[in-house]
Amino acid sequence: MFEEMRETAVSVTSAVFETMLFTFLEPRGREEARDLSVLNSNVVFLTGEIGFLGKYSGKLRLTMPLDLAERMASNFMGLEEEKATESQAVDLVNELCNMICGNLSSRLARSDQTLTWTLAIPQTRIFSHPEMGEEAGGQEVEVDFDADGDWVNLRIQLNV
Amino acid sequence: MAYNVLIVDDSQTMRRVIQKSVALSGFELGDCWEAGDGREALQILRSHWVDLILADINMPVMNGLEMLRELSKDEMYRSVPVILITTEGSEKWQDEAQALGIKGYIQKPFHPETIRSVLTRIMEETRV
Repeated sequence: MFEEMRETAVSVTSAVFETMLFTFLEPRGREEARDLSVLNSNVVFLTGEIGFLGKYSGKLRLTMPLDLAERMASNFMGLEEEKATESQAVDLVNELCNMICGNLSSRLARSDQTLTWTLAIPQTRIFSHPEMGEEAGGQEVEVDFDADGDWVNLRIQLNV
Repeated sequence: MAYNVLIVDDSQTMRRVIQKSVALSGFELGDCWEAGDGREALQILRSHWVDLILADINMPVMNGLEMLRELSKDEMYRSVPVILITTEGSEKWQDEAQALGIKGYIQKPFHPETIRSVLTRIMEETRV
């Protein structure tokens, strides 16, 4: 199940970023991700989190640099030269969590209707340095993405 | 003829993108109202004439399905076409939403052209 969830999560996340933000994501291994320059500089990060309830309950987290979220929010809202505010970036990341989780649930439910999730309202936190330990395993799915040199991390924890 | 539209979504950025997509689709947009949840939407409906509602499902305070249930109880608002723009794709809520009379459904993420084709179809049906 975790392998299927991982593959579906990569596909859904890439589709959401491409369709809504015209941003292309490349999945990366943990070691490759560690080399992304943004992880070795002093930047601020943002994590959106959404809980889900169903046969398997848990939470989905999406992490990226605040600057990337602000740039994407600016493009998304068509602000052109104007930079998006921090609250607009937070709003965008919450919406991305909602879209990724909702679409992941729909895709997984195609093969098993009992996998339909009820989604909570997303929340976001801002912090100065990401926890970059070993790639999650066990009851978790974790994927690192390269977004044109920026780091995007997706983590799904299941309460199995 | 320009149509007054009410966009209901808890995401301000998504409301703005939906409004932009509607405007770019060639749809004749009159006044455009925004609400962050179903309860706010019902308040706007009490004081403004709305021809079309575009609504999300997963929202705080009053979600999209709860809003549809309230609309279906009221003779005045029952006939206002509602299109859901949402990430939720399960049959469970789609069955209930259809029973409550939604006119269309767009799954996020969406291309602006999808909004255009759904709006065109709905307004042609409404004119008939």
